Amino acid sequence: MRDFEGAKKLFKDTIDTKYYFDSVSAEVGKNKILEAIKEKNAPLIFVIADPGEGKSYILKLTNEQIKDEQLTIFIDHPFFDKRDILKMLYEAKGKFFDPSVNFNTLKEEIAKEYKDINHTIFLDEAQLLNDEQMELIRILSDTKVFQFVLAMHKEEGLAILQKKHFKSRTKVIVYLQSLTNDEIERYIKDTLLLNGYGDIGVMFKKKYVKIIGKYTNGNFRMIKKFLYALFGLLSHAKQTGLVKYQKINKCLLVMTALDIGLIDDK
Amino acid sequence: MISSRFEELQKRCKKYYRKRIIKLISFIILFLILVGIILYFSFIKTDKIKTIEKNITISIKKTSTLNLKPVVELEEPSIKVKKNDKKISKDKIIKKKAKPISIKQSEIKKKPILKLIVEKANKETILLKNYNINKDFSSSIKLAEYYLNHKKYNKALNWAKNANKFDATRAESWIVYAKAEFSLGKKDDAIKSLQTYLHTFYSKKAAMLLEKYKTEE
Repeated sequence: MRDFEGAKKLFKDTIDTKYYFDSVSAEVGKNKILEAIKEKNAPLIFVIADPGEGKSYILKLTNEQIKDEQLTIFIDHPFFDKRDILKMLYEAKGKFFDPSVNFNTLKEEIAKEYKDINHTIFLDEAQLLNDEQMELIRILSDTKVFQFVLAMHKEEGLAILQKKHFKSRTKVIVYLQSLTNDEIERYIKDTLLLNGYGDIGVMFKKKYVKIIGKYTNGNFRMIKKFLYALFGLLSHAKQTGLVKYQKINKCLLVMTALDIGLIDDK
Repeated sequence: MISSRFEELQKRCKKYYRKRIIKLISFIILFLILVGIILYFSFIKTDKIKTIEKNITISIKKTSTLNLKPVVELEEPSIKVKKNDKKISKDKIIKKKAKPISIKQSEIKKKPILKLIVEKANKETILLKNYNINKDFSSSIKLAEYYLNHKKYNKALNWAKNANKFDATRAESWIVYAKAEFSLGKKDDAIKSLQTYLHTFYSKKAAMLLEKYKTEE
């Protein structure tokens, strides 16, 4: 008996670094980041991709892989004031942050604290930072003490890179790409097989994977969302005894795309 | 998942496919219309080319007919042509070349008339060619006789005078001259010319003609 409800849970939109899907783009990107961190050849590392193409995933995965070897700070939300980042750096080092102290003094003190420590600061959604905060990151990176890994949306990220803060700075840029149809097929089948749903995995013929790729444009997050919705429909069909919809067909894929708004039928 | 949601999705899916089929059919119809238009215009183009080709063929036919019938006039009937001097340029002799005459298609189809014109044109051309090659009394008098027979009296006069320049002793040129003058209503001139000839030479034909003209007085 096919357990569509169980398979559905595998594609919930959460980041689980225990299961890493080694797409070519992700693998190349991850290795490039690790190499730059190890060699410390650039204080600024930019990870640029469209939303849902795995920036956060790559950042978390890299953080997981190096956090035992060095000090890492992972900031997954933007901060409102430039002092916030200093506060986080102070707290990560176990130091008391005194907001009444002059900003420059705070900056010099924290630079001294981090000078001899191997560390990396991961900053997700960095496209949300304002000019003042960007300038602070630039100043901190110029001290050659701090190393930043910034994940940004493609459109905004490319514009930020053109700004005076970063244009002339030494930096490493990692571009993540969407998945190819072969990679989508491998991702679906591997995920299902590894979790004991091989019988469901065989239902995904190449022609259906191609349709999924067409609707999702190979976007990793969208693929997961699509599969989550698809298994929801399959599960419902099974529960209500609709035999026609208990196996994957073109109509069911269209229904899924309509359900998550990938097809505009208005 | 609520059943109503599933049913709604089913309906939307069917509607979506219906729309796609309509789009596809519309596209095919448009494509066929476009192909039809292209074929129609290409057919018209081909047809036009064929018509043009046909016209060209007809015009070629017309031109060939006309070429066979040039209107030739001597520039001066009193060209001084010596027997030995055969270097008279073609330009001097031919004053006018054939002008294109519009012949209707229906006229072309009338074969007997066409044949006649062709024959006529052929004889005249041959005689002219003959004259251009030989430039002697014989070729000149033949042209004079030809024009006389075809009631082109002025031309006949000119060619008779021309023949006379080659050999004034022969009666033929005088006779043609007199006949042409007579036909043009210049009876006195005709009699006078015959009398002039018979005054120095003798020709039975010329004498009989003179008698004839005199009796008609």
